Amino acid sequence: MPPAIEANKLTKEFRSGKVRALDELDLSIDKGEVFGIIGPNGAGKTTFMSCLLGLLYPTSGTISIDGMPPDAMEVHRKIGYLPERLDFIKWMTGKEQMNFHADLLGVPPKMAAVEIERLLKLVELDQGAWFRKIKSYSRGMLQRIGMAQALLGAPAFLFLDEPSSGLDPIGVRLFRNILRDLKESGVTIVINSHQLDQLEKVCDRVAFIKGGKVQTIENMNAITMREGTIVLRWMVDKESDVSKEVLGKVVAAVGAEVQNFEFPQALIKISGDEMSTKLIHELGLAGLPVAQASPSAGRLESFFDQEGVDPNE
Amino acid sequence: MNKSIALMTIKQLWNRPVRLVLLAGFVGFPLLIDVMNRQMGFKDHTSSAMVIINTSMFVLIIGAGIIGQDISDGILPLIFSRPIKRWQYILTKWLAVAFMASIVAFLNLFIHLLFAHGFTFELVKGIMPFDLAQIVLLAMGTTSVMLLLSSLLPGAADVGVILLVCAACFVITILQHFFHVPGMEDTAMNVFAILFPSFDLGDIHSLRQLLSIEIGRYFAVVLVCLSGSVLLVNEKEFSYGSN
Amino acid sequence: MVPIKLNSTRATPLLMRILPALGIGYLAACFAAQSYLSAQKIDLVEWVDLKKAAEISKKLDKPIMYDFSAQWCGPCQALKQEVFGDKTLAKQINQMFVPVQVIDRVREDGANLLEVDNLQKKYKIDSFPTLVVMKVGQSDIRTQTGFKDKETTKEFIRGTLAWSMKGANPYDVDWKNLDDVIVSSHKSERPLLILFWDERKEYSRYEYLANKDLVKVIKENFVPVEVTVPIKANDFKLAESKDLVDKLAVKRSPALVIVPPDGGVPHFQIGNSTYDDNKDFLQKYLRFSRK
Repeated sequence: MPPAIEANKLTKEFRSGKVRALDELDLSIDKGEVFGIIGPNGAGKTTFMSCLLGLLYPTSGTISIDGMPPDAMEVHRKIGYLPERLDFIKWMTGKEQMNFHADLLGVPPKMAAVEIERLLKLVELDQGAWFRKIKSYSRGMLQRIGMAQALLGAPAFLFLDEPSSGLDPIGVRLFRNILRDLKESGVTIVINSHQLDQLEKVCDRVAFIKGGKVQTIENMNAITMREGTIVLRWMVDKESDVSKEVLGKVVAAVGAEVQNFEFPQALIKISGDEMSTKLIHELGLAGLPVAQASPSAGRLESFFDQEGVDPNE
Repeated sequence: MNKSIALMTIKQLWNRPVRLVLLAGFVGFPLLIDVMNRQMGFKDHTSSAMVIINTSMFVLIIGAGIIGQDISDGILPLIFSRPIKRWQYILTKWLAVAFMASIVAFLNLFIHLLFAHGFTFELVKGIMPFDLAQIVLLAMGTTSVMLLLSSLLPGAADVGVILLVCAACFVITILQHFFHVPGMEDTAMNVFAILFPSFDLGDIHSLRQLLSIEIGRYFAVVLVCLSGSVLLVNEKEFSYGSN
Repeated sequence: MVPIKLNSTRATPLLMRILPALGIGYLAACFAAQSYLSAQKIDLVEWVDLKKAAEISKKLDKPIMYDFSAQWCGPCQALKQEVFGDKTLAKQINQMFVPVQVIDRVREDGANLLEVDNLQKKYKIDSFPTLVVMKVGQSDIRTQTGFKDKETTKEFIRGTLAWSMKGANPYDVDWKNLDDVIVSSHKSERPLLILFWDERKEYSRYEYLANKDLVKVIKENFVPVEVTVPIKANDFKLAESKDLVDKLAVKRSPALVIVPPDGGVPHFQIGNSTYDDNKDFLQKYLRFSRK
């Protein structure tokens, strides 16, 4: 099956070639995938997102959505976009803004009314705010209405630029749940974010972009990564059912290292996928079958460490 | 054309109080002059020239930053992410602004005639069909020029450029009157004719008169400006980064 | 760069690519047509018949512009080509004036038509071309003698426009309607000064009234009334007005009649007198009435 989104040697230059924001970037995203993009400032993430939306035009190379160029009318009917800079029409009320975008999408008015109400409730925008001008909205409210308008017309593609920025923890969780539901209904989602922990929880894959190129793509569904720590958990009643000595021997035998053991879970440092697979297999043979194995928090952060970049920059 | 964009443009004006005040001023101030003229025994002169000048002012007020302001406000990337062709957006903005300016200019003419003649047949005679068509022609012409300038310049700089050019024309006209530099006034008139394109419908008595330079210039300027704006906005890139 | 296809949001319709070229082509055609037409040296002013000018001028409330000229006069032809053949100026003249061409035919035909002669005498025309702008009902006129250049004439036209649009000028008296005066000034101590004026006649109102001293005497001492001759049946609504006019029985015009306030004997000045004569007439009455 052809990829839903494909970038092939995508290059974007500014100032007559003095600035090369994207440098022969290659990327493909499958249909229904939740794809994260991370990288330091100036890496080209926003440039890539703008190319996806047809707001910037490639200097060379190609980018396609569902096999069509990003500025095709057909593509624009299928996409929803939550921008990082929430520059909405400030004198409109929340509902007017939604109606305006529903009109642009060609959603019939009666259907639009129902859909708008549903979406505004979904993003939990306070009902009092629906009829207030957007210029009076807080950042969190802007983020919510931004998500609501992005979801108008049941898009097949959703492009989110810093979706959780400005949201309180409840809002962050709400958005995560919305994205999970959308993923289940097959929407292809591309998220550009600095909030690594959120990406880890939601994304199928995450690309690390730097210098206008994809440096690496991490499969979040794999339980390990090239290098890092995994958390192993056992479902047993007593602590004595998990022998610390046996664990230590098996871990050492595969070349890994026990960083911490606090019943019922242990934090193990491994060097890669192969090692973690072998470890789990050996633990099973040694009478310590693992109930759950998952990467520990901060695995994405390690990209920045490896590249010598501070993710908080 | 696009109904949503048209309605948005019209509502935009209602949400810009400074412009509404300016419009009220430009309608009310000449009326005040008319009242004063009446008191002093002069006749009311709601001439075609006044209608023409006022229509241009209304276009400048309503149409300032017709595209540029939308770009500066940052609302275009989201609008252009929707299934709307950019040329539809441009032409809709053009028609919406020209329509609003025409309505205000017509009301302005109506108020002046009402004042001059009261509710009489004179009033109806005064609202010549040609005057109304003239208003629409001038509104569409001036709006097209603003459209092109606004596609190039941010915010409401388009009005600034037009006013600057008008000031320059005034200066070169003075050069002719006081320093007898020849040809300056003609140059100024030609520049005005490009900035505020229009032609007198009353001049067209026969097919031959359709070949007048005023008419040719009008269509050339308006069509070039419209196409120019579409091409410029089509090629325009929108960077949506925070840095 | 990805080429823009037809279904793109950034597509420019074919019509929008073609129309500007057509517009420019149309403009080029207009320039070509214009240079062909100007080569034919057409006079673009819509001249009005001399006899109808006053009536049209009154109806449209526009001043009359007389162009006194002759076929043999070189500067007259220059004026015709450069001013009357100029689209903008001709348009201005057509819109703002009632243009009348008064052509001298003495050299060609031996004599002029009576109307032409009368007009030349009225405005004391002694050279060509002369432009005279006058407004019906006002005594002041504006004149340009000779043709220097297009710019000078343009200035003259602009100047007369400004002058003609004013409702009052220093030589004008506010001549009232007889009915209004009788109604409002029953107990006035000032004598009535009734001007009987026939607009059809070629006598110059400027000659008759345009004098500052005369105007001052009228404004300070009399209630000025104008009666348009010939008098029509429904010109006066009040019986009193009709009786007064009948009693005065003025048969010739122009005429000035002083009606004293105390019902005394009216004083008459009848015929083509000048403003100096008229001033003397009024001052004599004032001296006489104060004794």
